[in-house]
Amino acid sequence: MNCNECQPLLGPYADGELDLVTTLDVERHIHLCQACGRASRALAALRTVLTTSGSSNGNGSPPLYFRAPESLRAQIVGQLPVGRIAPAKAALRRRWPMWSAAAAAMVALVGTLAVMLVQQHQPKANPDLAIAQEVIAGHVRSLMANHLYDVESNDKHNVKPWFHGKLDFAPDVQQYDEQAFPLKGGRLDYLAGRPVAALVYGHAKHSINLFTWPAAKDAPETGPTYENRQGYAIAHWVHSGMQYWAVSDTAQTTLQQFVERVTAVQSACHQPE
Amino acid sequence: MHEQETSQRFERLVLPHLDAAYNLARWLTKRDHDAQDVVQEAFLRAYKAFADFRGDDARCWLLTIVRNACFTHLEKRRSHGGPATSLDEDLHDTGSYDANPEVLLNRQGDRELVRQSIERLQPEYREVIVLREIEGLSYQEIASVANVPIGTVMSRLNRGRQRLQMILSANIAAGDASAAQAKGGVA
Repeated sequence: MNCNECQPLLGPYADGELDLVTTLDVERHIHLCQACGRASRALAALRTVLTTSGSSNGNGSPPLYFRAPESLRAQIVGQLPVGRIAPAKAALRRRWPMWSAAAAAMVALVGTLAVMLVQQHQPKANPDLAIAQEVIAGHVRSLMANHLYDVESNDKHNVKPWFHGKLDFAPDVQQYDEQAFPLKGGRLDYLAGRPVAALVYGHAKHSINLFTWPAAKDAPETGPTYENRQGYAIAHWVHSGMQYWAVSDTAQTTLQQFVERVTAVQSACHQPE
Repeated sequence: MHEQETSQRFERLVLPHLDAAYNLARWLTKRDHDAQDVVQEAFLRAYKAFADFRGDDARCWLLTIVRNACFTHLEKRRSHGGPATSLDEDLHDTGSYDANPEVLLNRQGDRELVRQSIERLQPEYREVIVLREIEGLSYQEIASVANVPIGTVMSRLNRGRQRLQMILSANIAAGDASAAQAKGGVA
């Protein structure tokens, strides 16, 4: 690979959009070529500035990610036909103020029944379906309550020992790509009927929750499966007797890149520290 | 009852991406008020078109609608004699990333500086930078939202990033110069 070929690939390389062979070619060239190495570092610095300038530093200036104002959210929800009611239905509302609450309860009940029916109709009950739901719920809860971390650190040497004595297992805590997927911290969570470890990684303005707990004794080792539920990307695999569930509201391709980093480190025979 | 089901499904699939919608609109229109107008408009359009939406991931679908509404809005602003949007036409593309990494990294966390610099980009460059660096979309997703081929996404990102680093470097230098002046140093 020469510089003319490498230059236009620096961006896609940094974004993880190249196939493996080309990625390795670019990496090799960057290490050998001063000019392209410099350019690559300049690009990395730019992306670091874009990423880190978004995090909250409490000095009052707006973050790089603009969240919708609450008033806008309320307006949009009010715009929806169920809220913005035609005159006839409005009369109904006035007579029965509990209408919307009852409707919501009905929907929740029907939803639960639907899930139960689906589970009943499946010849083999799929426990993963239920866990996937819990994983999403856990992820959403951690974001809503702004309770992402019990221990906040980007150093695995701080995060891993924190779990000692709080769980009946030692989660494998690793750092992957400091720029694309920095470790942010960890916390205890409760899933699948037991305490689990949640490791939190960042990506741009998003958070990835990586849940892990010991798998059942006879659970087979499985490669990652991916799916999209309710707008969240989820990945699941079993490795070395441990369950892993990753969930985020990033694009599925992004989560896939994260999972590939994780499983690559897991496959390499390293001694747990 | 059907209307209510549609509405529930819309709330479940589309509403979670309200922040993404507002974020993109805010970056493209550069004003909170305009962004709110655009997002409201986009959600109305999205609801009308929702019957045609299949699938689980509505984020890109919604962002396409938002993005189109933004550019329509920007067109109107221009035709009503609004300010010119491109402020970086005097920049000459060097075709490479040649900023000094240390200079840039020194200013990480300076959100105001970074925000202003991004806003100086032309909309078509700002769009792909925001979708990639801030919203975290893949090239394929950016291509579908911006309705351009992936090759165009790649070249716009390249040029956009190069321009952004030049703007950042220039802003940093200007800021340092005026700070030196304020301290009574040599101009």
